[in-house]
Amino acid sequence: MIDLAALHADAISDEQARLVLADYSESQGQDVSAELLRCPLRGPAFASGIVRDDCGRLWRDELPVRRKTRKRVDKMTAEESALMPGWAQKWVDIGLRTGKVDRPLFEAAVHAIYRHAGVLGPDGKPAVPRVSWCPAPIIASWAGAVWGTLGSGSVHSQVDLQVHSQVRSQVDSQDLDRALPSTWAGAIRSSWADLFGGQFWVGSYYWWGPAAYTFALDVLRLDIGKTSELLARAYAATCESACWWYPCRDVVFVSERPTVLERNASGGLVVARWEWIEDDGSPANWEVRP
Amino acid sequence: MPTILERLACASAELQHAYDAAKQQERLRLAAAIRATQLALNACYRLLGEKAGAA
Repeated sequence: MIDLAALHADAISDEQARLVLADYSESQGQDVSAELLRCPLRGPAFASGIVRDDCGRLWRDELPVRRKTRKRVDKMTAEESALMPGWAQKWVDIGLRTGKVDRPLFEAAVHAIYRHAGVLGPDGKPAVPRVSWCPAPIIASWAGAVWGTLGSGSVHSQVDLQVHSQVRSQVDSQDLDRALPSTWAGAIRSSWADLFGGQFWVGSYYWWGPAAYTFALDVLRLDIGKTSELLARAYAATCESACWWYPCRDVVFVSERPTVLERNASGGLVVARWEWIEDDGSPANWEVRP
Repeated sequence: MPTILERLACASAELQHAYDAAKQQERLRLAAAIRATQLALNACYRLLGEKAGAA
């Protein structure tokens, strides 16, 4: 008798366990799972979310079942309109989350995005990105900018980030220029902002951000076509699961959530702080103040 | 000609000096920015090392 729960747990970090689980999945007719488990790059990420429906759907390109979908929505009913405040609050809460990221969900989502967006790796084949977790957004964005100079450029094609003055002032520091080779300093200066906002971009523009379009998908039951919906749901999952992320061809640098998000009485940001423990055990942090 | 890994290690060591100096001068925001850059380079170093190991 196979101990499936133990095998699932071991498969996250143990390649042999993943291969055993792949054989078992195949014997159960789960060929996609078997293939994912056998892949050296995707296997560990897939295994980390293997018992979760939300992760499994993203890996297997499945959509939640929706009945009576609509091709267009010209008018909302009173009942649908009444659901908007609660829906908005759910996404506001996601945007303000602190603490642990949801690594299995983010990794499933970002692999799905690369797949559906047709991102090609440096070798010209469909990209299978590695995910590099960084303790703060500034580290993710600067690592992405430097990585872009090492033969694997950013794949962010629609950068629309308002430049954060505090980050810019740090990027513009002459001391950094002296300490870094000019190529990397230049790359950081020119392309640090090629990133996505994760939890901080849940709102975005009219009917564009995940807060709005998931309302259209899940409440208004709008049919936007399978490929678009897969991509939309994968992008929404990145916003639900982590903070800023920087996509390169073969690597995604992604930041942990803030440890502290302090707001004033009217809801304005007082400070967002990322705290972590360095390898030598010393505490470190990076913070943003408006 | 140094390899990319060597260049990353070298730049990280340079940044350590800059970081120590900034901390000594109590330029804490600069120190934090330098440390962030160093961690970014270290992330690249780690990934390149993994890729080289896998090849």
